[in-house]
Amino acid sequence: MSKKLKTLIVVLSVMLAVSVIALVSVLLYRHFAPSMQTTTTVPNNLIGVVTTPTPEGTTASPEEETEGDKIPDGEETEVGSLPDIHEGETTAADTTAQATQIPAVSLYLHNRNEGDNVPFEVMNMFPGDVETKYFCVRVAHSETVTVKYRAEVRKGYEILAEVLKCRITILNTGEVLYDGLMKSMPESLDFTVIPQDGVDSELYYEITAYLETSVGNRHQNRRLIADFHWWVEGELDPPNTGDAMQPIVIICVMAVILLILVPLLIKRRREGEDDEQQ
Amino acid sequence: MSSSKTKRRLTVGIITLILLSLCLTATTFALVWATVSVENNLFQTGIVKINLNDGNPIINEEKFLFEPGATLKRDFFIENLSTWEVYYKIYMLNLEGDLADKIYVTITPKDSDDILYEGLASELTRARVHAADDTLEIGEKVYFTAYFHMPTTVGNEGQGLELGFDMGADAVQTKNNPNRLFD
Repeated sequence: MSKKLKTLIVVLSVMLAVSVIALVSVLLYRHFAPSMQTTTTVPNNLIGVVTTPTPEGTTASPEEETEGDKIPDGEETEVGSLPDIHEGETTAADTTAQATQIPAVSLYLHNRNEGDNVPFEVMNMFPGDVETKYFCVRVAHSETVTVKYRAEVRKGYEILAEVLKCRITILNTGEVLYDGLMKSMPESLDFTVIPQDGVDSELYYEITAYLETSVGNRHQNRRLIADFHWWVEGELDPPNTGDAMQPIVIICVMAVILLILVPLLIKRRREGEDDEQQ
Repeated sequence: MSSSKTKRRLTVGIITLILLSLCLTATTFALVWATVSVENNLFQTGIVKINLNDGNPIINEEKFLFEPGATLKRDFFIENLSTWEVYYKIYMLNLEGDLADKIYVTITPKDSDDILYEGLASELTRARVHAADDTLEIGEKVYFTAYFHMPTTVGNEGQGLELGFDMGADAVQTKNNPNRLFD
């Protein structure tokens, strides 16, 4: 009985070690991948542009540029080096860095431009107001995957969802995934991503929230809180996605458990040694 | 003694097993099940609200006797309780009595000669009055003076007539509303 227990503990410990190493690898990858990005070209900054990429060797005209199009000094745009992007699907978009190969799919937020991935905080909205935010989701994958998006309106905030509209656009292709009421948004907005040469794909979401001018007094002083979720669904099994924060929280919980576990294992070992001596 | 020791070792072993399983579940969950999320996206709409004279009537007298040439002067205020600057308009509603076609009403900012609205009481209805040229800033409180005047040209036909009314005010946000639309 005791031997079986011991074997089980050993097996579980090995599995846990493997799992922890994998998790730490993913976290390290996510941490260092953006810095690798900054040392290479950052082409195709597409904020506010909903057209197909500019032809090779040309640059966007000033009329096409918006505030978000500006690229920090010292970084060059190589529009012509972009892979082809097709309607409804995209390829590995922008990095030329040969990032560490991750065997499964990894999904994470990437701060491509200042202000990316910042939650909406729109106060004092009035009819006719329009607010836009940008979210950059990177996908490390080796197979074609479907990236899904959903805005989940929290319970108790449904009234404003009756009139608050949103438009979800993939700036890579200009495809509008959804334009309508928050409350009527489908369970998921899908976008197919094709891999290219082991580099990460990048999806740039433009999310615009707006109120029609016809919105009436019933919706004055109303509040809506929504959580935006992205996840991957593809042929790979299992999908290996992760929120940047979630593993850290889990690691903290694990650290606490290990603090309890280690003394127990030491005690158990000492008792075993005592038995052997006797 | 040996039995209790075995029991203790077994308990420790089982606890270890459970804790290891929990850890393994947690790491597996982190690797496989997580999604990318941006939470707490907050949207909140503003308010358009005005306070007209604290809800008090402008004319407190139950009955004021008008005679040709008489003018009744009363002050009142509007306060912007909205979360944005507003356009506003002041009008008369629930008009009762034929004196509405005899009494001239003039509304001016208090201690000013600028005329905001002017006309027969029956003409200053919600549908017919326009937005004031000025706007009310957030929290701004503005006093007005209303003059109710019976012209001397009104003869005996004005005798025995009455006028009853409510004073109303509408406000609408200036934001995204260049045409001052109230509906």
